[in-house]
Amino acid sequence: MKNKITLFFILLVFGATNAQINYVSFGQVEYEKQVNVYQFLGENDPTSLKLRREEAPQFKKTSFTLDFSQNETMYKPTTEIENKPPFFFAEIAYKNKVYTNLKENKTIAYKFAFDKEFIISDSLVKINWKITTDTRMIAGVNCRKAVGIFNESNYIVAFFAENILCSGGPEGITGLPGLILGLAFPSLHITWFATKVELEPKKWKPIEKFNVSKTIKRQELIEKVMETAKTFNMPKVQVLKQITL
Amino acid sequence: MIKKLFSSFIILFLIIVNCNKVNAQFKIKGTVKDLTENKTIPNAIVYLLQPKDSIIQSFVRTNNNGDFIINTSKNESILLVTSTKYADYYLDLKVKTDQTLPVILMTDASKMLQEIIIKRQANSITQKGDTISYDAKSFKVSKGANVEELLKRLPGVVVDKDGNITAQGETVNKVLVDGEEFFGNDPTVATRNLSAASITKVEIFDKKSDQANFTGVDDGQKQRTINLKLKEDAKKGYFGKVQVAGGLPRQFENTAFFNNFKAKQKFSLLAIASNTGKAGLSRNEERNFGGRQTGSPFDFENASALNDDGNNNQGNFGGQGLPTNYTVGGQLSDKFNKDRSNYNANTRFQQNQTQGNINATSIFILPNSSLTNKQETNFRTDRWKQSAQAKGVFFIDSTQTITSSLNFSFGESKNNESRTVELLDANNTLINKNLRNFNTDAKVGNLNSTILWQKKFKRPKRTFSFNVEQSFNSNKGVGFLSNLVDATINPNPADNIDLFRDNSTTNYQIDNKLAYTEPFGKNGLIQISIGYGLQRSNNSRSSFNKLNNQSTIFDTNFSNDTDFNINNQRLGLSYRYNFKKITWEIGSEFANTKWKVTDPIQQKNSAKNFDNILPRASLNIKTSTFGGVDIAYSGKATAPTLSQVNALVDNSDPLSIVTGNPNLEQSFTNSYSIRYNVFKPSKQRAIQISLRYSQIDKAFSQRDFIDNLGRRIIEPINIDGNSTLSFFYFFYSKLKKIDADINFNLRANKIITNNILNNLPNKNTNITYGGGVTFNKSVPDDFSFSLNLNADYNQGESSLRNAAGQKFWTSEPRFDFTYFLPFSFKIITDFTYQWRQTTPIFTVNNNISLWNARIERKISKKGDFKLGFRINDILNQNIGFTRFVNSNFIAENNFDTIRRYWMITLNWNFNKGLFKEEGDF
Repeated sequence: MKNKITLFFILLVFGATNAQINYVSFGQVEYEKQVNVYQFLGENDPTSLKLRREEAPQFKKTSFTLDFSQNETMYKPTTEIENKPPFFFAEIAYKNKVYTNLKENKTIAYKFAFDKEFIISDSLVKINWKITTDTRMIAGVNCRKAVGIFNESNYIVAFFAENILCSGGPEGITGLPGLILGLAFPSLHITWFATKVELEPKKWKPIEKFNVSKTIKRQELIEKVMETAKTFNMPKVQVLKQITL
Repeated sequence: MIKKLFSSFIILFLIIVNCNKVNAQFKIKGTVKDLTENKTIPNAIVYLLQPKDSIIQSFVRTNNNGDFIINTSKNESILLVTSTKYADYYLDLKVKTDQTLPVILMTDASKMLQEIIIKRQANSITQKGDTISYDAKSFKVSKGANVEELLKRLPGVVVDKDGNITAQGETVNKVLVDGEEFFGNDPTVATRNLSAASITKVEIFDKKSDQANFTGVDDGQKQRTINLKLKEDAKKGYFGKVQVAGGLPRQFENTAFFNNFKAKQKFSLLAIASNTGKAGLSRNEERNFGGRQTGSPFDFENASALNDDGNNNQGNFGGQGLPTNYTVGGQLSDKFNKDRSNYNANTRFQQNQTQGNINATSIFILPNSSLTNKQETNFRTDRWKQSAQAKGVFFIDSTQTITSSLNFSFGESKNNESRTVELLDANNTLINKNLRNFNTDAKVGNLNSTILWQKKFKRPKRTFSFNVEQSFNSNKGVGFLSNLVDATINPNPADNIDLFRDNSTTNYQIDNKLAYTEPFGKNGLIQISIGYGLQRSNNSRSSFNKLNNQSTIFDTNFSNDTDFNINNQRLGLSYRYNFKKITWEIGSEFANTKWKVTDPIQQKNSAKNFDNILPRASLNIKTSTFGGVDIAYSGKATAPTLSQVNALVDNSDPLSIVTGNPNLEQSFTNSYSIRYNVFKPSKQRAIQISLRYSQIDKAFSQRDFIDNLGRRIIEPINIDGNSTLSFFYFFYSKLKKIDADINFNLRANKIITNNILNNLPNKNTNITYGGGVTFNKSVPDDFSFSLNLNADYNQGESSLRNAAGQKFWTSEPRFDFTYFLPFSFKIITDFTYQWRQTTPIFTVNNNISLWNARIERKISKKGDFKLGFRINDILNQNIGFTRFVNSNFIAENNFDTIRRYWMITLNWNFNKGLFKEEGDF
């Protein structure tokens, strides 16, 4: 209700004074997540080479939805994903569901690693952002480019909409003044780009939190996954890639 | 692991450190305002950046009054303020206590960044190989504008009022959307219905034939083509437009257009109902439709001469009379197999009704007398056509593709015509008067198909392809022809006609071609091809005379059953060499053509056999990335058409009887051309110079015989000595200082045609010199205007009547103006003046002024609804008028055409929120 009043207010004030620029504080975004499978697995990886021989598509595309309000976001696959093994581990974070509360600096995430489900409850990942002057249109919305670094070495490029008053983005990537509509994770060869931005207040429903009982911290997840990885005899780098997000 | 832990520690440490410092925070207050309008800017983002690496420390947004408060713990920071539409604002901060900053004034980016905008314009045109690509967003058009408006903004592109496009001086034959045909061949469907906002790029190139593209051997078939690239965003949803318009005296122009994209699949729907001629059949379409069959045998094409075409100002409709059009259509296309296979199919139903009156006067100037023919015609045609086209590209494997297309259409054309004809001699005495009624009801069907199989081999440039083209056309009609002679003037009862006619024309054609290319030398390529084609066509007309009011008696005089069969075998050999900037090609086809005309009714038969050498040579030198010299020669043999060899005496107009000539031979054309063109995207300047000459041996012409009753008998013949020489110079440049563009052209033509008049050879020489200049200037959302001035000097003479030679000037200046008024009103107007100098023959002045105007306004906030008012031909001077002149023949036509009307229009552009006219919500 409070949000509806806010919207009314925003429309009243800004709709009347300046019809050209409207600011939005809730809505829904659909992202197309695209993994460059060949690159992700490595140019010379046997699986990758096999895929290429079979002329399997180089880009694996999936769709995710983000419901957002000024303080909360909920990110999940657009359609319910069956519980089948992911595509050669290349579909990193293929059915992650992430809830963030930007005001309280909290996140709850359902993550899957080796087909095991983990529920993480932690603070938001701290990302150091740099603003650039580049802009680009994504799904009809003007976005500004920013580059970010987190956990020392993870480098990302984001395009955020200055006119959307929400600091969220895909997965748990947050911390910019506007909503991230485009995101690239060069080291993982993954991109997210908004294909649809719904800003119709009618469709807006309050964002539901997960009801969770047993949760772990992010660090615990890393330890658990590394343990499992040993039994699979997988290279460490490969495993870490799986759970960066 | 340790590293991770360590880094976590650091982060933790930093957080703790930060927490400690929270106590020593400073508050910075400020207000953000617009520099020019002095109003506050809400929701602007205020950042504090770390000076050493400009990493964001914190940010806030301004409240509704433009105020902000931001906390910092650092003594030194960079303050950055951003807001959409404004230039970024930077400020170095040294903070020791809480402080209030002076008002931050932001500058509108569009005003500040003019320099950058100019820079961007330099890159707004790029080129890759032979393709010029225009970045659509660099060429501003008003909201809701269609692609045609966008094309008009592009340097070097000219769009005339009928929607015909010329790019860098050459006519554009094809407009593709995302590389695919859009509703067949009519470019205006795409240019007038797609919104400019949905386009990201406009590409202009010369499209080669599929086979030439594949083998790399240029077969000389090129079509200047525009490809409209849709925005990715536009391809993920639907968009379209609806127009409802109506006015007086009885005008309507309703259109609806819908486009839906789903992944690679595209689906479009189109519906048109109009009687203004503007949103119906374009000139091309009209031709495809079959045109009005008047039954009039005047063959103006072959008697080509000075053509004073006064009727080219009636919008899209090229013909005479008042047209009403209804069209519905749909198109579906999809890509699959990793975009390497695709199909594209469309279907359309069209209905057209045209009616009107024509008053025609023609004068034959004979060596020592003259003859005047006056006709009053009232006509009505009703036509419908259902057509479907499909094209598919099927990728078999990486070396093989099959391209296939299928077009078919069927329809009906009904024509009713009544005509009074009067003939006057040189003293203006009536020598003959006829009353004629003519009607036909014809069923028309067409079926065309092509299959092209292409195979590549491992060795580069070694290819094999096989092409089959087939077509089947049929036109079957029945009708009545009656002619009543005024017996008081001409007592010859033989000219009284009352016939029932059953007419049928069928044509079947197939052509196969096998081509093989093999690399020869390091930079060369050899192509060998064999081809076989055959044509079977038949025209049969059965005429029956009425007896006791029943059409029963077969009239052999006006009946025929002509078969025209052609067999054609070809062997082709060519060599192509390409090294760096030089490409040359030399080759020839050796062809044998046999044809046979048989007619059991007229008992006329003939058979011909020709062995031809059809040489071809070309040289292309690239002088810059987008400029070069082309020199070409080709020899081409043309067979006559069925209607030319038809063994039929066509008495559709008893005063002008056409007889076919089964003894016609082929004509042979030698064409030479030299062309230089250069385009400099950086300077936005283009120059094109061309010189062409063609000479025809045994050209198809006609023999006219006029008897003392004024009856004219026309027979096609072969004649030597026809030639055409033409020169064209075109210059285009952007005037950077005043941000306008100008183009300039000079042209000269010399056309020599020969015919035979009353057994005397006649040579017509027509020379035209002319030039024109066009100036365009536009300021988005303010005004745009275009001024075109031109003049031509015409000179014509005929060997039969040297004294009848004539010299005169013509000019047709045109002015277009669009102006944006306050309160979102927009005025669009154009004015054309048609002027010609009077001569001893043309003593009457037919100068006319055509003025059209419309005003429109957006009636919704988003600009998606537009209401408009339009007046066509305000001065009501658009008299339907054409005049055709050569030295021994003058024809003048007055006909009904669309004149002054007014109309209220309502437009609605819609899309599913995926791409917007501008960057904001």
